[in-house]
Amino acid sequence: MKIRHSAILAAAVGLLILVGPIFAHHGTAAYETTQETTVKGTVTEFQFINPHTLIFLDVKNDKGDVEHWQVDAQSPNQLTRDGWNKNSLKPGDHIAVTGFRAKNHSNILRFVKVIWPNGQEIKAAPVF
Amino acid sequence: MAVSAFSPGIFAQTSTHSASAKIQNAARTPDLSGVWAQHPPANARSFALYSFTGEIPPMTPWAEAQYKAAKPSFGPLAVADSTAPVNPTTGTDVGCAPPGVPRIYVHPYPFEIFQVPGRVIMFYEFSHFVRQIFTDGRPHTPDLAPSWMGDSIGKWEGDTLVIDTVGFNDKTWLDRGGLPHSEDLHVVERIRRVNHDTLEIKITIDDPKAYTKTWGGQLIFQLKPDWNIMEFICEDNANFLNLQKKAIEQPAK
Repeated sequence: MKIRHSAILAAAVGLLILVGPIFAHHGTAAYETTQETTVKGTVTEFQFINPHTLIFLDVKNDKGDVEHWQVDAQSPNQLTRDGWNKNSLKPGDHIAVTGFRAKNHSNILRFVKVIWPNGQEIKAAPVF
Repeated sequence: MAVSAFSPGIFAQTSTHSASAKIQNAARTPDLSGVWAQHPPANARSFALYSFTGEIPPMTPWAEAQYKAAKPSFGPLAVADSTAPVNPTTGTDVGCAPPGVPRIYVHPYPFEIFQVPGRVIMFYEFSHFVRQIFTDGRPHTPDLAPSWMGDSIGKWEGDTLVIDTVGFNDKTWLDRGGLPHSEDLHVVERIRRVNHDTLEIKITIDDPKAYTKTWGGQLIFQLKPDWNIMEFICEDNANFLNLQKKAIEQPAK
Protein backbone atom coordinates (compact mmCIF):
# COMPACT_ATOMS: atom_id res chain seq x y z
CA MET A 1 0.00 0.00 0.00
CA LYS A 2 1.32 3.38 -0.93
CA ILE A 3 1.82 5.65 2.03
CA ARG A 4 0.14 8.91 1.12
CA HIS A 5 1.45 11.10 3.87
CA SER A 6 4.77 11.24 5.61
CA ALA A 7 2.96 11.62 8.88
CA ILE A 8 1.04 8.41 8.43
CA LEU A 9 2.83 5.26 9.34
CA ALA A 10 0.86 2.25 8.29
CA ALA A 11 1.92 -1.17 9.40
CA ALA A 12 0.27 -4.46 8.65
CA VAL A 13 0.13 -6.41 11.84
CA GLY A 14 -1.93 -9.40 10.80
CA LEU A 15 -4.97 -10.48 12.67
CA LEU A 16 -5.49 -8.49 15.83
CA ILE A 17 -7.33 -10.66 18.26
CA LEU A 18 -8.20 -7.78 20.55
CA VAL A 19 -10.29 -5.99 17.95
CA GLY A 20 -13.58 -7.25 19.25
CA PRO A 21 -13.01 -6.75 22.96
CA ILE A 22 -11.59 -3.26 22.50
CA PHE A 23 -14.37 -1.99 20.26
CA ALA A 24 -17.24 -3.40 22.08
CA HIS A 25 -20.05 -0.96 21.84
CA HIS A 26 -20.50 -0.48 18.14
CA GLY A 27 -19.31 -2.78 15.41
CA THR A 28 -16.12 -2.33 13.44
CA ALA A 29 -17.28 -3.36 9.98
CA ALA A 30 -16.58 0.15 8.67
CA TYR A 31 -12.91 -0.06 9.63
CA GLU A 32 -9.85 -1.81 8.27
CA THR A 33 -9.20 -3.89 11.36
CA THR A 34 -6.37 -6.02 10.02
CA GLN A 35 -4.04 -3.07 9.58
CA GLU A 36 -3.04 -0.41 12.06
CA THR A 37 -2.48 3.19 10.99
CA THR A 38 -0.60 5.75 13.06
CA VAL A 39 -1.01 9.51 12.65
CA LYS A 40 1.05 12.18 14.42
CA GLY A 41 -0.45 15.54 15.13
CA THR A 42 -1.71 18.13 17.54
CA VAL A 43 -4.82 17.63 19.61
CA THR A 44 -7.42 20.29 18.83
CA GLU A 45 -10.24 18.85 20.92
CA PHE A 46 -10.98 15.90 23.19
CA GLN A 47 -14.68 15.16 23.63
CA PHE A 48 -15.22 12.92 26.65
CA ILE A 49 -18.72 11.91 25.61
CA ASN A 50 -20.90 8.87 25.24
CA PRO A 51 -21.07 6.52 23.56
CA HIS A 52 -17.52 6.94 22.25
CA THR A 53 -14.96 9.58 23.15
CA LEU A 54 -13.62 11.59 20.23
CA ILE A 55 -10.10 12.89 19.70
CA PHE A 56 -9.66 15.60 17.07
CA LEU A 57 -6.19 15.99 15.60
CA ASP A 58 -4.55 18.33 13.12
CA VAL A 59 -2.05 16.38 11.06
CA LYS A 60 0.38 17.90 8.56
CA ASN A 61 0.70 15.90 5.38
CA ASP A 62 3.83 15.69 3.28
CA LYS A 63 2.80 18.79 1.32
CA GLY A 64 2.63 20.78 4.51
CA ASP A 65 -1.14 21.01 4.42
CA VAL A 66 -3.09 20.44 7.61
CA GLU A 67 -5.56 17.57 7.58
CA HIS A 68 -8.25 17.18 10.20
CA TRP A 69 -8.52 13.70 11.71
CA GLN A 70 -11.09 12.26 14.08
CA VAL A 71 -10.34 9.35 16.36
CA ASP A 72 -13.19 7.28 17.66
CA ALA A 73 -12.27 5.86 21.07
CA GLN A 74 -13.95 3.92 23.85
CA SER A 75 -16.81 5.17 25.94
CA PRO A 76 -15.98 7.55 28.79
CA ASN A 77 -17.25 4.94 31.22
CA GLN A 78 -14.79 2.38 29.91
CA LEU A 79 -11.90 4.88 29.81
CA THR A 80 -12.69 6.20 33.30
CA ARG A 81 -12.42 2.71 34.71
CA ASP A 82 -9.02 2.50 33.02
CA GLY A 83 -7.79 5.70 34.70
CA TRP A 84 -8.62 8.26 32.02
CA ASN A 85 -10.55 11.47 32.60
CA LYS A 86 -11.74 14.42 30.54
CA ASN A 87 -8.31 16.09 30.89
CA SER A 88 -6.26 13.09 29.77
CA LEU A 89 -5.78 14.85 26.43
CA LYS A 90 -5.71 18.61 25.99
CA PRO A 91 -5.69 20.91 22.98
CA GLY A 92 -2.08 21.49 21.96
CA ASP A 93 -0.83 18.08 23.05
CA HIS A 94 1.49 16.58 20.46
CA ILE A 95 0.68 12.91 20.18
CA ALA A 96 0.59 10.00 17.84
CA VAL A 97 -2.52 7.89 17.68
CA THR A 98 -2.66 4.35 16.40
CA GLY A 99 -5.93 2.91 15.21
CA PHE A 100 -7.84 1.35 12.36
CA ARG A 101 -8.68 3.62 9.45
CA ALA A 102 -12.13 3.81 7.90
CA LYS A 103 -12.36 1.57 4.85
CA ASN A 104 -13.56 4.53 2.80
CA HIS A 105 -10.18 6.24 3.54
CA SER A 106 -11.74 9.19 5.27
CA ASN A 107 -9.57 10.67 8.00
CA ILE A 108 -11.18 8.65 10.75
CA LEU A 109 -9.53 6.12 13.04
CA ARG A 110 -10.87 3.61 15.52
CA PHE A 111 -8.65 4.06 18.54
CA VAL A 112 -6.02 1.55 19.62
CA LYS A 113 -3.48 3.65 21.55
CA VAL A 114 -1.96 7.07 22.13
CA ILE A 115 1.79 7.49 21.96
CA TRP A 116 3.38 10.50 23.61
CA PRO A 117 6.57 12.13 22.31
CA ASN A 118 8.58 10.47 25.09
CA GLY A 119 7.41 7.08 23.88
CA GLN A 120 4.90 6.52 26.65
CA GLU A 121 1.85 4.70 25.40
CA ILE A 122 -1.69 4.78 26.71
CA LYS A 123 -3.81 1.95 25.51
CA ALA A 124 -7.44 1.57 26.27
CA ALA A 125 -7.97 -1.59 28.24
CA PRO A 126 -10.00 -4.29 26.57
CA VAL A 127 -13.46 -4.74 27.96
CA PHE A 128 -12.32 -8.13 29.24
CA MET B 1 -24.77 -2.27 65.61
CA ALA B 2 -27.05 -0.10 63.50
CA VAL B 3 -27.79 -2.78 60.96
CA SER B 4 -29.44 -4.98 63.61
CA ALA B 5 -32.25 -2.45 63.92
CA PHE B 6 -33.45 -3.59 60.55
CA SER B 7 -33.00 -7.28 61.15
CA PRO B 8 -35.85 -9.67 60.33
CA GLY B 9 -36.39 -10.29 64.04
CA ILE B 10 -37.44 -6.70 64.73
CA PHE B 11 -39.84 -6.68 61.80
CA ALA B 12 -41.30 -9.98 62.94
CA GLN B 13 -42.63 -8.39 66.11
CA THR B 14 -44.81 -5.91 64.28
CA SER B 15 -45.56 -7.49 60.91
CA THR B 16 -47.92 -10.15 59.79
CA HIS B 17 -46.59 -13.67 59.80
CA SER B 18 -46.56 -13.68 56.02
CA ALA B 19 -44.55 -10.49 55.70
CA SER B 20 -42.01 -11.51 58.30
CA ALA B 21 -41.64 -14.91 56.68
CA LYS B 22 -40.89 -13.25 53.38
CA ILE B 23 -38.31 -10.99 54.97
CA GLN B 24 -36.64 -13.84 56.82
CA ASN B 25 -36.70 -15.88 53.65
CA ALA B 26 -35.03 -13.01 51.80
CA ALA B 27 -32.39 -12.81 54.50
CA ARG B 28 -31.48 -16.44 53.95
CA THR B 29 -31.16 -16.22 50.18
CA PRO B 30 -27.72 -16.34 48.58
CA ASP B 31 -26.09 -12.95 48.13
CA LEU B 32 -25.74 -12.06 44.44
CA SER B 33 -25.49 -8.33 45.06
CA GLY B 34 -22.73 -6.23 43.53
CA VAL B 35 -21.53 -4.72 40.28
CA TRP B 36 -20.80 -7.38 37.67
CA ALA B 37 -19.02 -7.08 34.32
CA GLN B 38 -18.69 -9.68 31.60
CA HIS B 39 -15.60 -11.84 31.94
CA PRO B 40 -15.94 -14.73 29.53
CA PRO B 41 -13.60 -17.73 29.47
CA ALA B 42 -11.12 -17.80 26.59
CA ASN B 43 -13.24 -20.16 24.51
CA ALA B 44 -16.16 -17.70 24.56
CA ARG B 45 -14.33 -14.46 23.81
CA SER B 46 -14.86 -14.63 20.06
CA PHE B 47 -18.59 -14.16 20.51
CA ALA B 48 -19.18 -12.92 24.07
CA LEU B 49 -19.50 -9.31 22.98
CA TYR B 50 -22.44 -10.05 20.77
CA SER B 51 -23.97 -13.29 21.95
CA PHE B 52 -24.27 -15.92 24.64
CA THR B 53 -23.66 -18.68 22.11
CA GLY B 54 -21.14 -19.24 19.35
CA GLU B 55 -23.50 -21.43 17.38
CA ILE B 56 -26.46 -20.67 15.19
CA PRO B 57 -29.44 -22.42 16.78
CA PRO B 58 -31.83 -24.47 14.57
CA MET B 59 -34.45 -22.07 13.25
CA THR B 60 -37.89 -22.40 11.82
CA PRO B 61 -38.37 -21.05 8.26
CA TRP B 62 -40.01 -17.97 9.79
CA ALA B 63 -36.99 -17.24 11.98
CA GLU B 64 -34.53 -18.02 9.21
CA ALA B 65 -36.14 -15.40 7.00
CA GLN B 66 -35.92 -12.89 9.84
CA TYR B 67 -32.29 -13.76 10.47
CA LYS B 68 -31.27 -13.44 6.82
CA ALA B 69 -32.92 -10.03 6.62
CA ALA B 70 -31.13 -8.78 9.73
CA LYS B 71 -28.30 -6.27 9.35
CA PRO B 72 -26.49 -6.43 12.69
CA SER B 73 -23.23 -4.68 13.50
CA PHE B 74 -21.73 -7.79 15.11
CA GLY B 75 -21.44 -11.49 14.41
CA PRO B 76 -21.41 -13.51 11.18
CA LEU B 77 -23.80 -11.09 9.45
CA ALA B 78 -22.03 -7.89 10.57
CA VAL B 79 -22.26 -4.94 8.20
CA ALA B 80 -21.07 -1.35 8.51
CA ASP B 81 -24.49 0.13 7.85
CA SER B 82 -26.33 -1.84 10.46
CA THR B 83 -30.03 -1.39 10.98
CA ALA B 84 -29.93 -3.03 14.39
CA PRO B 85 -32.99 -2.16 16.48
CA VAL B 86 -30.61 -0.98 19.20
CA ASN B 87 -27.62 1.15 18.22
CA PRO B 88 -27.98 1.16 14.44
CA THR B 89 -25.26 2.91 12.50
CA THR B 90 -27.25 4.33 9.63
CA GLY B 91 -30.87 4.35 10.69
CA THR B 92 -32.74 7.58 10.87
CA ASP B 93 -33.40 6.98 14.55
CA VAL B 94 -30.76 6.82 17.24
CA GLY B 95 -32.09 3.44 18.29
CA CYS B 96 -32.65 3.65 22.01
CA ALA B 97 -35.28 0.98 22.41
CA PRO B 98 -34.61 -1.46 25.24
CA PRO B 99 -32.51 -4.36 23.95
CA GLY B 100 -34.59 -7.09 25.60
CA VAL B 101 -33.35 -10.18 27.39
CA PRO B 102 -30.81 -11.73 27.12
CA ARG B 103 -29.35 -9.17 24.69
CA ILE B 104 -28.99 -6.63 27.51
CA TYR B 105 -26.15 -8.74 28.96
CA VAL B 106 -23.96 -8.64 25.85
CA HIS B 107 -23.65 -4.90 25.72
CA PRO B 108 -20.23 -4.10 27.15
CA TYR B 109 -21.42 -2.38 30.28
CA PRO B 110 -21.75 -3.71 33.82
CA PHE B 111 -24.90 -4.21 35.81
CA GLU B 112 -25.66 -4.20 39.51
CA ILE B 113 -27.83 -6.63 41.44
CA PHE B 114 -29.81 -5.44 44.44
CA GLN B 115 -31.74 -7.82 46.63
CA VAL B 116 -34.69 -6.58 48.63
CA PRO B 117 -37.45 -8.61 50.26
CA GLY B 118 -39.61 -10.14 47.58
CA ARG B 119 -37.62 -8.77 44.67
CA VAL B 120 -34.28 -8.87 42.94
CA ILE B 121 -33.47 -5.65 41.08
CA MET B 122 -31.14 -5.75 38.10
CA PHE B 123 -29.81 -2.33 37.25
CA TYR B 124 -27.98 -2.19 33.92
CA GLU B 125 -25.54 0.59 33.12
CA PHE B 126 -26.59 0.35 29.48
CA SER B 127 -29.25 3.09 29.30
CA HIS B 128 -30.00 2.44 33.00
CA PHE B 129 -32.60 -0.17 32.19
CA VAL B 130 -34.02 -1.87 35.27
CA ARG B 131 -35.59 -5.30 35.65
CA GLN B 132 -37.65 -6.28 38.64
CA ILE B 133 -37.56 -9.99 39.37
CA PHE B 134 -40.42 -10.79 41.73
CA THR B 135 -39.40 -13.56 44.14
CA ASP B 136 -42.42 -13.38 46.45
CA GLY B 137 -44.16 -16.34 44.89
CA ARG B 138 -46.50 -14.47 42.58
CA PRO B 139 -47.25 -15.92 39.15
CA HIS B 140 -46.68 -14.07 35.89
CA THR B 141 -48.97 -11.13 35.38
CA PRO B 142 -51.80 -12.50 33.22
CA ASP B 143 -52.77 -10.91 29.92
CA LEU B 144 -49.92 -8.44 30.03
CA ALA B 145 -49.28 -6.50 26.84
CA PRO B 146 -46.02 -7.53 25.14
CA SER B 147 -43.09 -5.56 26.54
CA TRP B 148 -39.45 -4.94 25.69
CA MET B 149 -37.92 -6.57 28.76
CA GLY B 150 -40.70 -9.03 29.59
CA ASP B 151 -42.40 -10.03 32.82
CA SER B 152 -40.02 -11.73 35.25
CA ILE B 153 -40.62 -13.87 38.29
CA GLY B 154 -37.91 -15.70 40.20
CA LYS B 155 -37.37 -18.43 42.74
CA TRP B 156 -34.38 -19.78 44.57
CA GLU B 157 -33.21 -23.33 43.93
CA GLY B 158 -30.40 -23.81 46.43
CA ASP B 159 -27.69 -21.33 45.53
CA THR B 160 -29.29 -20.49 42.17
CA LEU B 161 -31.75 -17.75 41.32
CA VAL B 162 -34.02 -19.05 38.57
CA ILE B 163 -35.66 -16.25 36.59
CA ASP B 164 -38.58 -17.03 34.33
CA THR B 165 -39.47 -14.32 31.82
CA VAL B 166 -42.29 -14.17 29.28
CA GLY B 167 -44.43 -11.43 27.77
CA PHE B 168 -41.88 -10.05 25.31
CA ASN B 169 -42.67 -8.12 22.18
CA ASP B 170 -40.93 -9.31 19.00
CA LYS B 171 -39.08 -6.06 18.26
CA THR B 172 -35.73 -7.05 19.71
CA TRP B 173 -33.07 -9.62 18.87
CA LEU B 174 -31.84 -12.21 21.33
CA ASP B 175 -28.30 -11.00 20.81
CA ARG B 176 -26.38 -8.34 18.90
CA GLY B 177 -25.79 -10.73 15.98
CA GLY B 178 -29.39 -10.68 14.83
CA LEU B 179 -30.93 -13.86 16.29
CA PRO B 180 -34.69 -13.24 16.11
CA HIS B 181 -37.52 -14.23 18.41
CA SER B 182 -41.29 -14.08 18.48
CA GLU B 183 -43.75 -12.96 21.12
CA ASP B 184 -43.81 -16.58 22.28
CA LEU B 185 -40.28 -16.20 23.66
CA HIS B 186 -39.76 -17.77 27.07
CA VAL B 187 -36.37 -17.09 28.69
CA VAL B 188 -35.05 -18.87 31.77
CA GLU B 189 -31.95 -17.50 33.47
CA ARG B 190 -30.19 -19.55 36.13
CA ILE B 191 -27.93 -17.21 38.06
CA ARG B 192 -25.35 -18.57 40.50
CA ARG B 193 -22.34 -17.19 42.26
CA VAL B 194 -19.70 -19.76 41.33
CA ASN B 195 -17.32 -18.18 43.82
CA HIS B 196 -17.10 -14.81 45.54
CA ASP B 197 -15.90 -13.01 42.43
CA THR B 198 -17.67 -14.96 39.67
CA LEU B 199 -21.28 -14.95 38.55
CA GLU B 200 -22.61 -17.51 36.08
CA ILE B 201 -25.81 -16.99 34.11
CA LYS B 202 -27.11 -19.99 32.21
CA ILE B 203 -29.70 -18.98 29.63
CA THR B 204 -32.37 -21.19 28.10
CA ILE B 205 -34.38 -20.04 25.08
CA ASP B 206 -37.73 -21.60 24.30
CA ASP B 207 -39.59 -20.09 21.34
CA PRO B 208 -41.32 -22.70 19.16
CA LYS B 209 -42.31 -20.16 16.53
CA ALA B 210 -38.63 -19.28 15.97
CA TYR B 211 -36.58 -22.33 16.98
CA THR B 212 -37.11 -26.02 16.43
CA LYS B 213 -35.83 -26.95 19.88
CA THR B 214 -35.00 -25.42 23.22
CA TRP B 215 -31.43 -24.15 23.28
CA GLY B 216 -29.23 -21.79 25.22
CA GLY B 217 -25.85 -20.64 26.36
CA GLN B 218 -24.12 -19.05 29.28
CA LEU B 219 -22.32 -15.91 30.32
CA ILE B 220 -19.70 -15.36 33.01
CA PHE B 221 -19.36 -12.11 34.96
CA GLN B 222 -16.72 -10.83 37.34
CA LEU B 223 -17.38 -8.88 40.53
CA LYS B 224 -16.15 -5.28 40.30
CA PRO B 225 -16.12 -4.10 43.92
CA ASP B 226 -14.56 -0.74 43.04
CA TRP B 227 -16.93 0.15 40.20
CA ASN B 228 -20.02 2.29 40.36
CA ILE B 229 -22.74 2.16 37.76
CA MET B 230 -22.12 5.29 35.71
CA GLU B 231 -24.36 7.37 33.51
CA PHE B 232 -24.95 6.04 30.04
CA ILE B 233 -27.67 7.74 28.07
CA CYS B 234 -28.52 6.14 24.76
CA GLU B 235 -29.57 9.39 23.09
CA ASP B 236 -25.91 10.40 23.16
CA ASN B 237 -25.48 7.84 20.39
CA ALA B 238 -26.27 10.68 17.99
CA ASN B 239 -22.66 11.77 18.49
CA PHE B 240 -21.48 8.40 17.28
CA LEU B 241 -23.87 8.20 14.35
CA ASN B 242 -22.60 11.46 12.92
CA LEU B 243 -19.06 10.13 12.93
CA GLN B 244 -20.00 6.68 11.70
CA LYS B 245 -21.81 8.11 8.68
CA LYS B 246 -18.59 9.86 7.66
CA ALA B 247 -16.73 6.59 8.07
CA ILE B 248 -19.02 4.58 5.81
CA GLU B 249 -20.21 7.07 3.22
CA GLN B 250 -18.71 6.78 -0.21
CA PRO B 251 -15.97 9.36 -0.80
CA ALA B 252 -16.79 12.19 -3.22
CA LYS B 253 -15.58 11.56 -6.77
